[in-house]
Amino acid sequence: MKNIPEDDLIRIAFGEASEEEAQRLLAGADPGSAMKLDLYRRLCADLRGMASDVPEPQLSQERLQEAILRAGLKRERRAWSWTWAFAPVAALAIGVLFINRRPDLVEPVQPNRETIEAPEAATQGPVAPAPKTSPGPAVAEVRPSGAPVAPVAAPKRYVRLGGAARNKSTIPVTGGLAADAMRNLAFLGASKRSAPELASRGDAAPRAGSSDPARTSVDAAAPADAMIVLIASETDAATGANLAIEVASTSNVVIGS
Amino acid sequence: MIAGNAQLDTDEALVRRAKRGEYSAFETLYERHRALVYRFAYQMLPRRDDAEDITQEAFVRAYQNLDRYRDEAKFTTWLLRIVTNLCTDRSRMSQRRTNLETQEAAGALAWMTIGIQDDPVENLEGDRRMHAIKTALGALPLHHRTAIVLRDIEEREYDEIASIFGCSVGGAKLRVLRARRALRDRVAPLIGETTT
Repeated sequence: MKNIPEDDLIRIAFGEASEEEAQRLLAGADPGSAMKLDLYRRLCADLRGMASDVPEPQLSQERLQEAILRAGLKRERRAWSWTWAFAPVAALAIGVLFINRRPDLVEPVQPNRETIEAPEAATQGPVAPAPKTSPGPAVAEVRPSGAPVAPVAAPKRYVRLGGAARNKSTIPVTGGLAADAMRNLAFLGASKRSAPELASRGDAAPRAGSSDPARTSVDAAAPADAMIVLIASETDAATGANLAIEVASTSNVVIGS
Repeated sequence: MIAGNAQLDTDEALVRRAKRGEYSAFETLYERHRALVYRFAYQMLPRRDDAEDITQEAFVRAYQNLDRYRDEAKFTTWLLRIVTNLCTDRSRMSQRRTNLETQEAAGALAWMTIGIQDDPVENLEGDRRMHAIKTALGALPLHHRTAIVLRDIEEREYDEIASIFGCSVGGAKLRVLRARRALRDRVAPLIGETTT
């Protein structure tokens, strides 16, 4: 008496084993296996009988036709559409735009940087000269009147102004040299004032009336016959005011760091 | 090109004609296979209205997606795959509802069932067995139920079942074997037989 594996019993009962294989397997089977086999055989017969135990459907071609018309026909899919080729380009463009528009991605202001006021902010009063945060050569030096201003070599530094920063009147600028340069540029908008007059006041920032941001452009702001005053960050030992120089043209002046 | 007699055309030829816009060819396909689809749907979802809905929906989808049909598989295999997917979706949606209804009406109208045997005792026994099998089949997980219906009720070949399941023939055999064991485990207690 032997116990037949259940998988074999199932194969025999559902007719998936050949006649010879079934006889070989069933030879000397124990009563338990025979009982299981009988159970599976009846199960198989009942399942096959279920195929005929189905109520008649109430389906019609008209009903199907209505359903097809109601659902509508799908458009045939095209194998390849050239419009897909533009998708990566569009995604890239949107990504670049998104990165540039996000204010939090603008380069943060470092602690050792200083902030200077744009010209319109100068209407609130005199601005004290910004202290230098890092040693370095001055951008503009005081020379005898009429002497050309030689460009001074300075280490190059760049300031990236992001979208948010550009929209504000406060512009972060790196280092003392750059601050000086910006202040000078801002002042050039009010270049009709004389240097001694400015020196006597003891400040280097423009006052009210010089608040037009467009006038930060030297050539656009200064009339042809006006003198241009460059203010350095160093102060005169005698007067305590910032050193200044008048020039007729700024074409040979290098500003910035 | 001369269109052949629709009744004699193969399924693939009818599909090609239907793809060209010949609706009558699709109607022939519908007439030819609606019983199969309905029967399969009824075994999967033993409610007549559900089965009718599934049958109709299957043919609508088949018509809408005829351009996706390739000649690699038989049309009936492709159609049964659509029906299987529809039954799966419907079963998931209505499983809870069906369970509640079955519990409420458990055996309430069983006495009205007309047996096919002449002997009343045999009728009763046969009905009881059939009811047990239907109950067990309905309680099986859907993948087991699909395997049983395809192989043991509809008597489909293993390669066709494999194509419907998207697996190998060996995988299809394994699925059917597991499904039969699961069905046996559920049927045996219902008909008072031990499985040990």
